[in-house]
Amino acid sequence: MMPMPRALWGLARLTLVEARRTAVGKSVIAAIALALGLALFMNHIVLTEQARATVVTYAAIVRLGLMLLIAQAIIANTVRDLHERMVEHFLALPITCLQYALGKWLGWAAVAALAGTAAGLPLLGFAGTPGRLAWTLSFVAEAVLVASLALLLALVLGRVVTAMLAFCCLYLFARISYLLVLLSNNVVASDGSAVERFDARYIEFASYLLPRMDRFADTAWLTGGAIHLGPGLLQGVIYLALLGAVAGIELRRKQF
Amino acid sequence: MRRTSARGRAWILLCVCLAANVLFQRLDPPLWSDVGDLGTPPPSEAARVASLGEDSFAGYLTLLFLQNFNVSLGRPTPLAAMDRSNVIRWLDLATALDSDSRYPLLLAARHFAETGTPEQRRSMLDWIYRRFEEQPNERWPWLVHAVFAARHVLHDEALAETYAAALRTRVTDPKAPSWVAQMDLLLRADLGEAEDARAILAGLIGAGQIRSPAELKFLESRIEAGQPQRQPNL
Repeated sequence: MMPMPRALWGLARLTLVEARRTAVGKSVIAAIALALGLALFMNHIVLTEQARATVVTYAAIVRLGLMLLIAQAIIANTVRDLHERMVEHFLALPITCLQYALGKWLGWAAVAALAGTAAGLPLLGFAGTPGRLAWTLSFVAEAVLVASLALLLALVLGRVVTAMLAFCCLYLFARISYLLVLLSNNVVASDGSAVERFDARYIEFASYLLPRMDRFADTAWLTGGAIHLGPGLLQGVIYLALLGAVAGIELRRKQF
Repeated sequence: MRRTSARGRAWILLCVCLAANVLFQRLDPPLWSDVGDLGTPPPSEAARVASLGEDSFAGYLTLLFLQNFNVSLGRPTPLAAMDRSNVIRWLDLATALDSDSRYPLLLAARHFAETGTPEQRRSMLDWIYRRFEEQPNERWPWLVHAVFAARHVLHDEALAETYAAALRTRVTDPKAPSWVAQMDLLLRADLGEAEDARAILAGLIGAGQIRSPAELKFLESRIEAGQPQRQPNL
């Protein structure tokens, strides 16, 4: 077995430095502070269940904010590396194209994991909130999966706007695909037309290509709902392997 | 000097544009008619999709929308002007999105059931009763409030007795305070229905819901006190 080159770890470390240089950490803190501020505002306008409403609001807002922020940072940095031919400098080292992508992935996955952990820290301030540890662990897994998807889209599409649009479509669809499948199946069950049946199958097929993002860090865990950490982690492992397989095919084909 | 004046002109242009925007907003403020009537709520599935699966968050937003709907630009309109059948649909939506939340019941009991015509109040109390029947052990506090509202606001003794009887027969949580089950007895004792009260007391004793001799003595004294004077004191 070939030992993992030191260059790969160096790439991961450089990615972390790059994230710090481009103020990704500060942006993450700002996003968390914004979510916390809106949650505390919610605390002041609801008539009852103040703590519950605050936690629910924070969880909902910080998820959307951080996932879009992580994806945007990764796509912008990766596309800049492609356009400024930084990739070619790295590929002059004794590493393959796939090893370069792996090194970048390690770096961005670490950034995503740190951001996910940071998002879980404010929950320590809400004493009595159940499921905080499970939610944070699952949120870290979701952030790593999002980082992986964003990196792959950036490497494959090579343009910020296109990759970001593709990411938004895929992520938002993956968050609600289970609802759309249920709704379309309901329509078919109630004697739907041929077009509606086609739509139902189409949505079902599209959902098979994406991960079940609703399995990760369910907000209901923070309000006493049953915690199911395993399915989310399993889904994460499966889809990370799938993204790796796509990267393996696509990066061999692509000429940087 | 020329550079400074060019910068000054840019700032003046920015200020003029900002002032024009402020003026436009002041001349064309949002009106109540812009918001429109409460209308029927969207289907719960649509609300779930729109909130990206954040059901609880969508539930809170729905309730805040409903809670503040009658307040437009600091000029509140009467709650009685809101169509209660639509209010109930919105409360149903919030409950469907987040069935563990007590917020919809609080809004129904303390916000909407305390204003409006007797029919409007009754419709809100009926909604609380229907929701209580789904989860009696979690939602009994709001039916307790409904008993008070039915008796002291609507002056409908029969309705209050129905709700109190439901509290006695449906609430089975041992953590619920004993007075929840005893409320029916106390209500009937205050109304002078001593025979019914005694029958209920016997039932409570039989079910092991009277937890101390002092409690039994107190309940018997309330039945006796209610018999001659018939003074409601609940």
